[in-house]
Amino acid sequence: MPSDNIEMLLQADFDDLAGRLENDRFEKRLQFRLAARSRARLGVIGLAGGLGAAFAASQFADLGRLAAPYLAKALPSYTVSIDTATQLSAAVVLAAAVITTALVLRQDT
Amino acid sequence: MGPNDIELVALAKVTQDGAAFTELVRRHQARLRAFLRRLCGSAHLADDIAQETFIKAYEGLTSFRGGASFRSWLYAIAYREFLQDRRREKAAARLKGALQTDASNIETSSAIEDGLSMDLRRALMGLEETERAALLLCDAAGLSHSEAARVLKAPLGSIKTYIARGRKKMRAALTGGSDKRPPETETMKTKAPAAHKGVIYAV
Repeated sequence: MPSDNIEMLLQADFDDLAGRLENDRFEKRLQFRLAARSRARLGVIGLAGGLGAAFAASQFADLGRLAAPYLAKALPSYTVSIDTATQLSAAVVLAAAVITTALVLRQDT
Repeated sequence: MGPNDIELVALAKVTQDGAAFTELVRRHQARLRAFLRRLCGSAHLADDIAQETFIKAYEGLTSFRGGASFRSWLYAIAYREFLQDRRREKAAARLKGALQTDASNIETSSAIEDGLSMDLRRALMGLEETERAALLLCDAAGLSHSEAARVLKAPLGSIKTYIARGRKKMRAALTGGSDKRPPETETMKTKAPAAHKGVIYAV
């Protein structure tokens, strides 16, 4: 039971105000803000993943050339050209980066 | 009957379920925003703080242990956000008009829009922040004294003091300085919501 009129007055005002705030689409605005944060975060993850994969792929040609003499000795019957092997490796790394990003996106949404 | 708050929090934690959190927002947003509006005196600022509060709650859901009620946890975040906002210089500028206790600076249109009488608004804004917060939490929002103590991070005895002092000050302000109870109007008896727009003590 309210202890005095001040309490009743505040309660009446508060209930009235809360009632009017019940259906003014605040939840929608909040959801949009939460989604915007999530989208920004995912964008950063995707960008970082793409850049990292592209950089890694760009190093494969050099690595392949360095490793070529040793590979030729170790696998004399394996005649695939170095360029083809590095391009394939780069494609695999890029695909792995895209798949990883997609998995992260899927978990976040 | 739907799940209670604690069950919804658990659901949101385990499943990373946006729907469970949305339901929590739907349940609490109106009263939390009403509390913030009356606390800071500005609808715009109150809604900004409410949004920040829910975002912080969403991001910190894993830190909610369930010992306290979800409601008091949420109000504690909101009050902390309010205090932080107050400290920022930018917010202080925004609040300059809204938090003036001088009656001449009270935004009449905003008060009317909010359905709050000028007298009540003036009396409320004339209180100390902690008094106003304690009074709003317990007398208006319906939190228990111990819940309010958790929200305001103050001892239980202090909360009771804030409330008693706040009521006394409001009574004095509403009755023109004589510290006696305001007359009980039809509005207060019936609690008809829209009836007390600026006419509470005009009768």
